Amino acid sequence: MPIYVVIAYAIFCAVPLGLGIVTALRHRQVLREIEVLQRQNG
Amino acid sequence: MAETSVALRRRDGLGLVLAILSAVSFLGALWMVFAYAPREATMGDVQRIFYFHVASAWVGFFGFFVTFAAGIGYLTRANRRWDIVAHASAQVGLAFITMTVLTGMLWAKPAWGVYWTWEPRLTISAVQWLLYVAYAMLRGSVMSPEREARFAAVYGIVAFITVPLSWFAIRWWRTIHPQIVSSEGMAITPRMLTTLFASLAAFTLVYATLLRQRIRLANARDRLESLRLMQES
Repeated sequence: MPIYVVIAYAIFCAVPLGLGIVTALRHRQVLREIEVLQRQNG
Repeated sequence: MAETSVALRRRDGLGLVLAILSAVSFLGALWMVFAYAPREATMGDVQRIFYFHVASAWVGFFGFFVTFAAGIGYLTRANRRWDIVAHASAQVGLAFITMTVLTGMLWAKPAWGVYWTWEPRLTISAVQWLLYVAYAMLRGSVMSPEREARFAAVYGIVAFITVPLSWFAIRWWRTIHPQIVSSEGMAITPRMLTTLFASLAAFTLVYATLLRQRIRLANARDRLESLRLMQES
C-alpha cells in the first residue's frame, strides 16, 4: 500500500477519535468542577 | 442544584448508541475501502484516499450548513441553544475540512506531482479553511456573550458562501480537480459507488456523535460559568 494512503487513513482515524476523546475528557473535567462548586455552595 | 449535577452526569444513552453505530459503520466503511472496492486501473491504490476524502468534505460542508442554519435561528430567536449548535458544528466541520485538505494534498502528490496548486477548488478550500479557523479564534475574543453570539451568527452565515462556491468551482471554472458527480451521472463503478455511500453514512454518524458531544460540553460549561458567577456574587 502506498505511504500516501497509509498516512491519509491514519489522519482519517486519528482526528475524529482524538476530537472525541479530548471532548469527553474535557466534559468530565467540567463536571468535576461543577460538583466541587456545588459542594462549596452547599 | 444537586438535581442539575445529576442531570449533567446522567448516562447519555443516545450518545452511547450513536458512538457505537459510528464505530461499527466506520470500521465497516474502512473494510470496504481496502477489501471490497476494486483497485482503480489508472491510479492504483492511491485512489482509495478518495472515499474518505469525499465523505470528510461532505461532513465538513454539512457542518458549516448547520452553523449557517443555526446562525439564522439565533438571529431570529436570540436563543443560546442555537448559538451552541452553531459553534459546535463549526468546530466539528473545521476538523473534517482540515482532514479533507490534508488528505487531498496526500492524493495530489502522486496524482499531479505536487502537494498543492492554486487552482480554483483548492484556492477556495484554503480560503474556507482560513475563514473557519478565524471563526474559531474570534469566538473567544468578544467580551459580551450576546455580542459574541450575534457576531458569530452573522459570520457563520457569510462564511457559508464558500460551501456552494467550492461545490460549483469545478463546474464553473477550468480546474484539474476530478469531477465525480456530473450531469451525466457518477464516473465510478457500482462497487466504488457502494463504498462511497458507506463512507458517507459512516462519516455522517461520526459527525452526529461528535456534535452531540460538543453540545453537551458547551451546556456543562454554561452551567459551570453560572455557578462561578453565583459564587462571586
